[in-house]
Amino acid sequence: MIRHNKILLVEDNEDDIVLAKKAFKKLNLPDVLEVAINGKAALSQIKEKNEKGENFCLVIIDLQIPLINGKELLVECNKLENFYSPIIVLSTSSEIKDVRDCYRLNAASFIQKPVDYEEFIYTIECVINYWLKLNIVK
Amino acid sequence: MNQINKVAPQYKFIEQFFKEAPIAFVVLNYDGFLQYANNHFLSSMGLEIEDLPNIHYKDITHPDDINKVGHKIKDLIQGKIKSFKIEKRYITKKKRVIWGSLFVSSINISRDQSNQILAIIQDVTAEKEAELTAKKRLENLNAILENTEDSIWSIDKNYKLLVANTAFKRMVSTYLGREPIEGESIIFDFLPPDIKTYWKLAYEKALSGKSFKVDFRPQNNNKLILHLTFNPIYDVGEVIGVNIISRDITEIKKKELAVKQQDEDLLHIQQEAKISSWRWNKTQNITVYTGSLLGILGSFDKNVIHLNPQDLFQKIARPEDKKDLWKKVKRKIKENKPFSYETRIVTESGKIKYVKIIGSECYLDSTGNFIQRGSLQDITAFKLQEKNTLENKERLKALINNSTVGVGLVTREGIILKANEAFAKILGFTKKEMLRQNALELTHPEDREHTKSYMDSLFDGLINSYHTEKRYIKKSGEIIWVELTLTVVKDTKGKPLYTIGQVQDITARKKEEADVRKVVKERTAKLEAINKELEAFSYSVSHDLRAPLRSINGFSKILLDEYCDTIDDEGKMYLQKIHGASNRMAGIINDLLDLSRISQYDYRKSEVNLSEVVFEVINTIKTENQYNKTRIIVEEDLVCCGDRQLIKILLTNILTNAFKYSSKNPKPEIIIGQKEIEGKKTFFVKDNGVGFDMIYSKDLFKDFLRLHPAEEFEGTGVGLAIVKRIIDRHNGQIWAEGKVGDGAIFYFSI
Repeated sequence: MIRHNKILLVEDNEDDIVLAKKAFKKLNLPDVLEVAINGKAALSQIKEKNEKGENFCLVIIDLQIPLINGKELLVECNKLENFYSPIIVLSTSSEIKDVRDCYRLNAASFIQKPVDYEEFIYTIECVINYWLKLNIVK
Repeated sequence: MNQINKVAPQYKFIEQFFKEAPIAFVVLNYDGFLQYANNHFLSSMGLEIEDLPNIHYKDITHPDDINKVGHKIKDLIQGKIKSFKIEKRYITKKKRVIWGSLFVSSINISRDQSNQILAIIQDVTAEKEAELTAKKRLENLNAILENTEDSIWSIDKNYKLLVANTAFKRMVSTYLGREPIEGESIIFDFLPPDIKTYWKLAYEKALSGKSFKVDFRPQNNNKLILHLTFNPIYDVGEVIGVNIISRDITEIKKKELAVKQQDEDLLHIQQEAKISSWRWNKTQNITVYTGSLLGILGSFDKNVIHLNPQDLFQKIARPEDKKDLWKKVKRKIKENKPFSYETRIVTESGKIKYVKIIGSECYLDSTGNFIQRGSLQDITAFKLQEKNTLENKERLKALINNSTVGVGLVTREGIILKANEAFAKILGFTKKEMLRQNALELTHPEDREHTKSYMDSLFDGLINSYHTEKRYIKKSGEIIWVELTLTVVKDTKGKPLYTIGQVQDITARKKEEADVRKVVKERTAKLEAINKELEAFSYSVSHDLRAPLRSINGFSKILLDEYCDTIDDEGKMYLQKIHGASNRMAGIINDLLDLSRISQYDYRKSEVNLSEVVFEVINTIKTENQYNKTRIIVEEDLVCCGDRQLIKILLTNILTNAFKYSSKNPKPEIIIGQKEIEGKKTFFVKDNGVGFDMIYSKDLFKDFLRLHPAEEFEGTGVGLAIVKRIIDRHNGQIWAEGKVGDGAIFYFSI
């Protein structure tokens, strides 16, 4: 059973957006994804949802994103009063500093984005299985 | 005639007979008053006849004898005895003592007279005195006999004890448990049989009329030595016994031996010291030389020992010395004065020797002979050594003076006792000026505290030498850097006297060092900047290069999966290649990042058990891959020093290779061990895989170089480059040996 709340994907790379959408589609979740192509857009989309008294069931962010970068976005989200979505960092980097910084900024999870497409699909599947099926967000 | 008239009439009769008798004659009444005395008595006593009636016998008797005489007279008066004989002392008028031998009896001169006492006195003073002297002598003799330590005893012909002194009795009683009794056989039972025999033989010898002396060691006590004197006792020309005197001479013998030993030692010492002492009896002109006179004089003929010192010196003197030195010696000898000279002599073989001749003050010995003593010593060795030392000292002095290294003697307080030219020059002073300086004051103020502390350590004996670099201030005020080595010099008792300092001006070197440091600092800064850039670059590589790769990978995969109907086989093959290439490139990027991480890794050195790490790595490799048939031999407890994390990465790469390249052998085998190569502990990893051509051995560790195509063995070619980086970080060495188709050995030392 999957809760049909929206997932926000913050990603500036168009190819990655396409591949992510394709992966979700392949996993039978074609409509779940909302996309923000930079940090600023992501923040306003989150705030917009908050104003309606809603939250994304999951926010997936990349670190290297324009205008407001991933870590700054985490900082901003921490300031929001009615925000409780788990934020998952999906980054090509796995530098120790990045990983630790993100956790300190209340990231819920840090996952390395695999280059191999099949591995990517498997990774997304795992994320959905855990964050949308097991994990509870209210 | 006057005298006669003075005599009472009743004694006239007696006087007729005794007046002029050569024997003293006295008459007393019963009250003890003298009634009459003849001339002999009166003159002996210094009395006059008219004194008599008032003299009581007690008045002229020695006080000690009064009682004795009184008792006898009382007995006589009471009629108990008719007469008695007695010896008593008289006191003359001049207070002299006269011994008298008296015959006393009571007589009746006339009826009307009361009884009288008659005494005939013989002067025995001479005999008494002789007797007393003899008695005294005997007493003294007895005292000597009784008090002497010597045991003295005599026996009769049957070995029976006649008489013995206390010493003998005491000695015997220690064995016998009681004092020996006179008349007892002296061959005591406690004596061992052989001693009994000894005594019997000795007694028999003496009994046969022989006097003899013998040193006797009772066998039960080897240390004890008795000197025995046996003398036969004669009676009327016949031996009736033996008198024995036994003296313990153990100590004497011991001392004798000690003296003898001392003499020998002295002689030995004299020989060792090449010294001969002489004793010249000038009165009789006899000289005795001790020690090795001939040895000292070399090949001089043996007759020299018969010469007196004066003639001897004359003989051994060098002709050129005869005038002054030997003349002086001659004069001193003539004047009987002491002398001491050092000179040279020439031996017959022409060798020159240094000798020291000494003569003492002359003295008269107990026999009235005039004696001079002295010695002759070969001091050649000392002289040569002295000369050598002097030369060495001169050489050292010259060396120090001409040295380009500054040398100075400095006290604890910094006072410069000596300084050579170079030391003075370094500080811009003249040699003379240096002696007025204080080393501590010349020291740069910032270095003074440190200087004081090591000077204290040197003088307190905590350290013997100290090496340092410090600053001095030159006469001109210029600051210079010197390299200083200080060594403390101690006296024979170990008390520090001063330090010898060696000083070298290293200002130029210091400046160079500073320059180098500056350059290094600049370069380090640059390198750090480059590293930062590199870090940023690695970061962007990891991110930026991976993104397009992901696109290539993802879309080629989608094309292959979802558009397979519209693409022909050739097209699919190309897509496959694109897909594969993107995966390999991702691998390369990962490895590149690992590589850059190692260079920046903050490594920590510790002791690492290499064998343990090997097992960990093997386990990881085996879980990830299928190398189950590979046989692995690991030497136990291989230990090295380095960063455990890096060593693990190193071993992972080497072992992965070993597994990988031996995987096509039907019986793959990997050996990990240790060996000493050129004195260095070296580890090795040996496999029986495909090996490599030694031509490429130098290229093995270059980045991205692969000797085998990826189709045969997977890999990016970065593994050994990482290995090399890790080895470099440890300042170690790595090389490999191999042969195509015959395995490879990787050697490395950390």
